[in-house]
Amino acid sequence: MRICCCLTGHLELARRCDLYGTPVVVGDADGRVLAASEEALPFSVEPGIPVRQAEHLCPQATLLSSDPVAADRLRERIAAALYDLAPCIEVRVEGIAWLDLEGVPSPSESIRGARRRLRTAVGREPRLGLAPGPFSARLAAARARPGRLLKIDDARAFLAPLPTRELLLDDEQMERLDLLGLRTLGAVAAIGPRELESQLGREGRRAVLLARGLEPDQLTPWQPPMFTSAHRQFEPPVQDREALLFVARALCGDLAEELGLRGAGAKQMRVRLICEDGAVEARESIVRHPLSSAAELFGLVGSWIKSWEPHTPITEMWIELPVLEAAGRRQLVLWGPHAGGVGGGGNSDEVTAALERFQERHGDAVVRKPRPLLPSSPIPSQRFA
Amino acid sequence: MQVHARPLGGKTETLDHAIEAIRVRFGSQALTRVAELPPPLPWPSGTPLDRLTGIGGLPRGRLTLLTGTGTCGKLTLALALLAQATQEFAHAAVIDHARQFDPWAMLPFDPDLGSLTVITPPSAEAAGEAASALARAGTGFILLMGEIPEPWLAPMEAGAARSSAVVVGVVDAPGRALAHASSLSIGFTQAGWIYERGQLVGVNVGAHCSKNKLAPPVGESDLEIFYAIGSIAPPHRSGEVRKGRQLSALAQQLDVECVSAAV
Amino acid sequence: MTRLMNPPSPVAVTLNADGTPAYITGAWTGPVDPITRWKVETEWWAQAIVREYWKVVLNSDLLCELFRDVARDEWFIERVYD
Repeated sequence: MRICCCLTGHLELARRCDLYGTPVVVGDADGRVLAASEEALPFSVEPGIPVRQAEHLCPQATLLSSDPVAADRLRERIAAALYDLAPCIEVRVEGIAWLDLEGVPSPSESIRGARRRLRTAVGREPRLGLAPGPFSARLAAARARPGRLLKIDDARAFLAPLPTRELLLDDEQMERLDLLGLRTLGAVAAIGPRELESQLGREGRRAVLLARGLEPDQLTPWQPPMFTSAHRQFEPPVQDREALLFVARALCGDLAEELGLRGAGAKQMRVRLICEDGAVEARESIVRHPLSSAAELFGLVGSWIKSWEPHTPITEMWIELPVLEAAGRRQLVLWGPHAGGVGGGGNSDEVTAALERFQERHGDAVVRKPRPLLPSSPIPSQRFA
Repeated sequence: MQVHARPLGGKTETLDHAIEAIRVRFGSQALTRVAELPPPLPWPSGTPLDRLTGIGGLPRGRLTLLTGTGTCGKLTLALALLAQATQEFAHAAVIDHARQFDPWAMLPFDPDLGSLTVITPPSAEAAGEAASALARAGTGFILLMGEIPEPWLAPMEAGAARSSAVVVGVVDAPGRALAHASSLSIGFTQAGWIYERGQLVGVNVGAHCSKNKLAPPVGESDLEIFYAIGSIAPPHRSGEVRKGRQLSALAQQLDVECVSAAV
Repeated sequence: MTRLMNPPSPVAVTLNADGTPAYITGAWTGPVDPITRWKVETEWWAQAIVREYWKVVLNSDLLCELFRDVARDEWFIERVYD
């Protein structure tokens, strides 16, 4: 088993890239520190202490409230971005991403890809570690420089000198270890699992296995949801068709970005307009080819909206993709401007999809690639197909 | 959506407030002042038209019209543009509602047929739909062989502006809507036939900018278009470009470059 | 360069005394000045196509090609130069 671990810092901090390089403290709903930037750590600010205490320790720190929904959404997007790099990935909101590279034909490419995509996603270089298991890979990454990979072959030898606090046990268990004179992972590894289990319970057995590099924990694989949607509420309600088209285009862009990250396409599409009087106008379609680009999605949604006659103002628009399937990987830039804006370099898939949709509406014969048949024929109509 | 604001005192403030409210509600890209729009990037086509546009090429993201009646060379130039586009862009499309496009006529310009797609819509409405969809999808170059209905002009323009596609229309005399939608309109007029050894071998053509929203007008160009005599093989002088004669005293006064395209 | 009428557009042709086209009516109308002519005979092994082609100038400003289908004695405009 070969595991690559990428550390980006807590995703709550990644929501504010503009504060990188400054001390930042994120407080949770209970008034405790949820995450602190590296610049705040020298002031003894660490997760778990009260926010008031953190303010006192580091007055110059920027205090932020946690946004678990946004952090989780970022976690999902990062997971979707890494999804095709390894058979099994796990991403945590604490800013830890693992990739199981077992069986990957080119692990170095996957690692490079992960570094690149994480850098784009969070705006800074991740720290990377490669080791036989998740625990040792994480500790290796923590000791790597930003943008660098620390590779470990002998996990036990690497872990031996590290302090026992890396086991992430609670305070009471750490105190017991200290009383037992076990201050390094090497010392813990030398103890028999049953012996430490008798002192600390199951956590003790687990601690010994971790310290020996035996990795009892498996990754929890991330699975992409097979349903996605986007919606917008209008306040005040909207009846203008151009406004609806404008918002629909933006929603299709968001959905396309998400689909592209997953390499998925929508086989079914549903648009729902919630009217001011509570009525719902909906339209649904199953498509022949999976739709995945913004242009494809909006091509269908836009044509529906143009043909609609809303009788009352619209308060909410939902665009739902209830059935997703693999649509092949497309080259997309994470969180960046769409490459098609350069002109002429429009995504070939989008042009092909536009032609296919046109053929679906008007017949296959309306689109052709001219090819020579009898170029020297004296009859002009025979020269080209 | 473009907005022109005239200094009318209190009305300007009201307009500014409305613009700000729309931007807050729908995003900053919902409205753009004309002065904020970036100038269109030119596409150097390698044809004499580059000199007439004032920006060194055809405008990306805008509609260019080639107009003129009779045998005046507009389609010849359009096919030369199309052939060049097939070499430079991944996708070039011809929307041929009237079913008059002949790929054989492009051969003297050495096109890359692998990049070319011909769309023959069953109706003018379908032609407009195809133009709009392809412009939006990012087709590099679109040649319209004929007019498209007015309702499709705005979507096509918006799609082309978004994707920076080069859109060229070839019409004898554009309707008001199409003329208004174009950013550049070049008129071709036949100035006389070219005879060599008693044989009609080509046509003299004058090309002038009748509309230019991109740059000040830069004068006129005289062209010599040679057509194959006979029926079958592409002409032996295919792709020839040479300096032509000074045609008149007026031509001497203008910054004239006479070029020939053997077709 | 040229527009190809596919299928060719039928026209009615008035001939000069020497058999050259003088005037056409139909999709295009007006006097024509013949420039050159050639004959095409092909597909004799199947259904023979025999055509008499003319390159003409129509109304003094439109160069085009028309042909006479010899078997059916019908005239068509096939190509317009632009």
